[in-house]
Amino acid sequence: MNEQNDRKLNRRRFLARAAKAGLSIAAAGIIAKTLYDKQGPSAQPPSELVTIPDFSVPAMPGRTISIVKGRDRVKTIDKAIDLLGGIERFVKPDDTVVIKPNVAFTSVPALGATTNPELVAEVIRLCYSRAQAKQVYVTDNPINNPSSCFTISRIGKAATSAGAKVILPRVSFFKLTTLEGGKYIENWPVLYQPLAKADKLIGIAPVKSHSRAAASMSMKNFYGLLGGRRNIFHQDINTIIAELVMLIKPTLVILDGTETMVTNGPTGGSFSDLKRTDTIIASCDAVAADSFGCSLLGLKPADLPYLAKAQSAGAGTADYQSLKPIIANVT
Amino acid sequence: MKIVTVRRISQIFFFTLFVWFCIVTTYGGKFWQLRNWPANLFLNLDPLVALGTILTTHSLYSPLLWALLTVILTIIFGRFFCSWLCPFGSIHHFFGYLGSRNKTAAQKIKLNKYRKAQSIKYFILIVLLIMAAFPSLAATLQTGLLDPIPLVTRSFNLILLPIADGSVNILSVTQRFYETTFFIFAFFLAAVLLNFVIPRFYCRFICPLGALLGIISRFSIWRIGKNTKTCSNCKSCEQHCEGACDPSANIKIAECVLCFNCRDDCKTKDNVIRYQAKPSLAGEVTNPDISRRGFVLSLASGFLAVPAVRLAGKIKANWPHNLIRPPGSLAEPEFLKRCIKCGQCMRICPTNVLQPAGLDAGLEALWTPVLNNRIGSSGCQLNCIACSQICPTATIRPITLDEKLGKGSFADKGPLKLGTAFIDRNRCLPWAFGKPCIVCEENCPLSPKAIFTREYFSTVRDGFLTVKKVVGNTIETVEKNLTLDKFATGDYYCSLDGSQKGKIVTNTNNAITISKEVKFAKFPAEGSTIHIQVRLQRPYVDIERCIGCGVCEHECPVSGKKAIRVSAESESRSADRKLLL
Amino acid sequence: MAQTRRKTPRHESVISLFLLAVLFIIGLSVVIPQFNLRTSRTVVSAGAAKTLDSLLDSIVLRRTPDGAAGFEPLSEIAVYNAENLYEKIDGKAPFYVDSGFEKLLTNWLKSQQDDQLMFEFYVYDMAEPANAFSVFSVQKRPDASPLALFETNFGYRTENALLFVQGKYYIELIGSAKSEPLFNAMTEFAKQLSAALPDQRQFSMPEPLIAAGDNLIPGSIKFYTGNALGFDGFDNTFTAVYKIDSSNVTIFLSDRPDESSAEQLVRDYCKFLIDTGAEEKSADIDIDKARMLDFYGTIELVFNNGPVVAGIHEADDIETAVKVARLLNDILKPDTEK
Repeated sequence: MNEQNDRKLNRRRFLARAAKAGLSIAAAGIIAKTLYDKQGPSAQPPSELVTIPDFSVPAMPGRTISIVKGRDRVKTIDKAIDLLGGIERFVKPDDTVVIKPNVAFTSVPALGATTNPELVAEVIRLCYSRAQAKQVYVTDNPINNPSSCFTISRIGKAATSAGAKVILPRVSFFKLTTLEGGKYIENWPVLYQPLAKADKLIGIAPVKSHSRAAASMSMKNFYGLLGGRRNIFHQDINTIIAELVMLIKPTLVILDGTETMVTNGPTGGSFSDLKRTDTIIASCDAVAADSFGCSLLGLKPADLPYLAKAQSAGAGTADYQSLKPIIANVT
Repeated sequence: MKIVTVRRISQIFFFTLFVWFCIVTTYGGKFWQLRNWPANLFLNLDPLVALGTILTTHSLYSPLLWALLTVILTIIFGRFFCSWLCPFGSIHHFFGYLGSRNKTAAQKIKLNKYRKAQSIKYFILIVLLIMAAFPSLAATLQTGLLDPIPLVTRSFNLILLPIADGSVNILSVTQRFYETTFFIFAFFLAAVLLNFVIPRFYCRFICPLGALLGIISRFSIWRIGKNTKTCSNCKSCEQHCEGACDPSANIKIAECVLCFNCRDDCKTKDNVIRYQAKPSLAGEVTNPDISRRGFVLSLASGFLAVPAVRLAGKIKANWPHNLIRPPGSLAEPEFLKRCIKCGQCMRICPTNVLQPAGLDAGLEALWTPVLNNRIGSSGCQLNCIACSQICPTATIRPITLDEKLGKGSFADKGPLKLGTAFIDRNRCLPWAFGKPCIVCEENCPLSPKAIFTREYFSTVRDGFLTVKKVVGNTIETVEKNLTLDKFATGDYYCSLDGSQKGKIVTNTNNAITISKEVKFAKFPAEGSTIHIQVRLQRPYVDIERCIGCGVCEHECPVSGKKAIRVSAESESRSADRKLLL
Repeated sequence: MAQTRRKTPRHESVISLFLLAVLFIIGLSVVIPQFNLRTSRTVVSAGAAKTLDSLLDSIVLRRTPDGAAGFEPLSEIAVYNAENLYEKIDGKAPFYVDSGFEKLLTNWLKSQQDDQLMFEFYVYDMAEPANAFSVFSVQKRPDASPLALFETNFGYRTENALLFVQGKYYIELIGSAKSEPLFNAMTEFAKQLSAALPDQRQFSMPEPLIAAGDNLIPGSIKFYTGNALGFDGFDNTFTAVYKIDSSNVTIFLSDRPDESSAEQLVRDYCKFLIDTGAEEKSADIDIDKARMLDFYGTIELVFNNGPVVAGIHEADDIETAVKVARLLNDILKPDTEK
């Protein structure tokens, strides 16, 4: 009898101990996982985190997104911006404006892999002559060699001819940032220098298909503000694109669907990859712009998971119809 | 096969592995050099390294994840690390065995009885952890001083292997030499010799890692204990008890190192001592034996130790300028939070320029790596990033060659600078003594060089001579005390009334021959004065280019206090030590 | 004092031996990786890169046949491997890497006379002719037109690009503008390159497709190393467009290791279609174990002939599907059975 009690007591004690051991192991494992640091320390002490300023302007219901059909890019973009209230609504006198086009590749404008330089030049012209901006900068962190990209895409020349300054990325221009609620953008370098002294940020992107993300439009355009070995995010491309619009709140995005790259994106290579869809979208909401833009590629918003992700994070709406887009034609 | 046999094999295996890893911590690709041997394995497995860096940096650097394995196995099985794995422990085990070999059984039992002083190691652990956990910048990682794995690693790396290799020179072409190693050695030797007083002295009384593992093993599933009540109390089990944990009575689980000697020594047929899931029938104590007073005292000491150690005044304006850190090092406060003083970087440095710091950099920096350009084969090699690749805690960040040289994507940041070289014009041969020398400029590895020279002519002592007669290109002097061929080195020039110069080819004790290529416009008249001048190339440092690699300092022929010395101004790792805007 | 030698209990011996084995394994896992040392994880051996490099450099475009000016390289040839390929082509990189990509050599050639005229060449080393043919055929542009220089299956042009496959290399020449002089220069480059490439193997088409001959739309043959028709079971699969009666239908075939795995693949494909919403229809066809499904209005027909899986994809109606499937089955039958 006594032995049985002894054994019972021992078993209870053993189980209690085993449970405590299990909990300690779990605790050790959790601590290790949360504090796990794959890359090691960076050259700068971690306290230098920056926040990207919010560049958006106050919303005007019914004047959030405009969709204009036209063959001539310059006329079409002018109309699109005017329908939203004109450049003066977005850029105020003496503002410093940063334009972020897609300059990712050493690709000539005709191939449609980069932003059309005419558009960049026209937006710069509007900022200076109509909005009386103080200074306009054009910047991007390209995938290929930066100076070749700005040269071959002709965006560099278009920018400087229009009176803007091109900012090529340098290592010291990148600062670490962490997106609150973000999974990937944590202590990650962003091209902060041009944004730090800017008042307004305008993104200009072409509509392209993308083999990984299905489409590369105004949201993915902001990938060009990330630094570091950013290609690792391609493994979860939809989350990172959503995080981009959570991180960056632009003043205005312009989505160029004049010649849409429908196959072989994002680099294309043949003129036959492009289809004339003659549409330009101007929007305060990049998610809405993309959710219309995908139709030019023959896709539906449901085909782009990042739209839903961005919408549920509150970074915009995937239902562009609800914003009452202003539709127009330009001959 | 007895379990103690396996334990001994395990000790020999891991000790051999440890020594092998110390040997292969040599720069190169051969079989006995680094290649991709896991030379940091023991440091990575060490939970105190991981815990220390977690407290100071709030992150677990990825190679240290191995420590989780040790922790989990200790939680389940107990303090196996101490008697199965730890190379330092194996050394103590061996010397303890040697020391008590010829003693009687009763003497041995007495040596291995539990002593209250064994709780000192817990206090040491607490003090070290508090110092590491101190909030923000004040935190400092000093666990490396007493943590056995870094301790034994640096002892082997910096003393034992250089001594062993000194005569055969296999690992290194020349004898490797490290400063302050006397104290490192004294430390090591003291710890080893104390085993002759009490076996496993270090393990029982001092080792903070043992203390940590003792605390973690509280909930171990299996533990040593008595299985039956038919123990004759002969205490044979305590003859070789390594942990001094009292297996015959109330066994102190936190002290038991799972050597299983008790089980091996037990004379009873009934197999009294077992490794079992139920507690010992003779009673067991799982908590370390720390009194509350002792605990509070050690907490307080830990807190006070930090400012006391920092009051050495080596911060902010009074920073030590001759503390040159390896390329890729973090800024000093971050550096001191990560360095465990293991000596791996010093061992792998192919030029032997990395040395353990002494006390002049502050107590906290003791035995951390610094460059001493006078020692070794040549400053910091331009194309070498060995130290940054081997540092187990990323105190020296794992940089790429591009970052070190300022190429590729780092082209705008420029090369990493360790400091800047300063010429001491009071000691430099061409500056102070009129002796030609451009060794520093020749050896500067950069292209374009960071040292440039400017020509300067200086009249030598007793160099004012009076002309007696001129024959062709030879000038006879009135003075007859010139040393034969003293001016024939090609550095000496004869200057006529301060303007025209001609290179002197040879001289006798009263005549000077000028090079035939020189055509004097006007020949010196009899009775006029000529100057013998030495042509000097005086070196200047271009502080925009200099990266502080120390090659110039190493080569400077002024071998005592060098005439060109690297100082930590402009080191890349510290934003506040710039020389230039 | 005689010590009673206890016999080591069995469980102690077992555990001891087990621990000994663990030590042995630890020892092995430390030592063995030392023998697999790869000296360089990054670029392929410098030797190989150099020969292709110098070959590309040696292709000289002085005067093109119609008298246009020469072309010269813009900078140095850039070399990319699987790890940094994305730096050049971003999102398209995984497609190449998954298909066996090893190395890319690329550079610009610019006209000496007209600044605006230049073309970029991409020479992809895909390790095997099958892989090269795959990336070539799968990416074929819809407006492909034939080239005199290459057989339709192995090369084509678009308005501004010239693309071809040779041996294990897939080559793209992308012109910066629609210009015949520019295209002539690209053709000349392609000709010289094709003649000089060290790998002169031509990827061999499977017998059945050769037998189908004129019934296939020229240049429509595609080869997938994986994921053909959106189904991950279809690796090593050919597709082509078959002309029947005045319409076209896509056929596919895939060589499997043996008959039973072929039958399994047929079942797996059907399950995949059904899971995604297809409706099975009774296959009114005299092919053993053939299966027909209606997938949202188009017909899928799949069967196996021995170790070969074949079928019709997205046919407009059942008659066409059945007709072409019969023709395909006939082609696949070994001669003795016909």
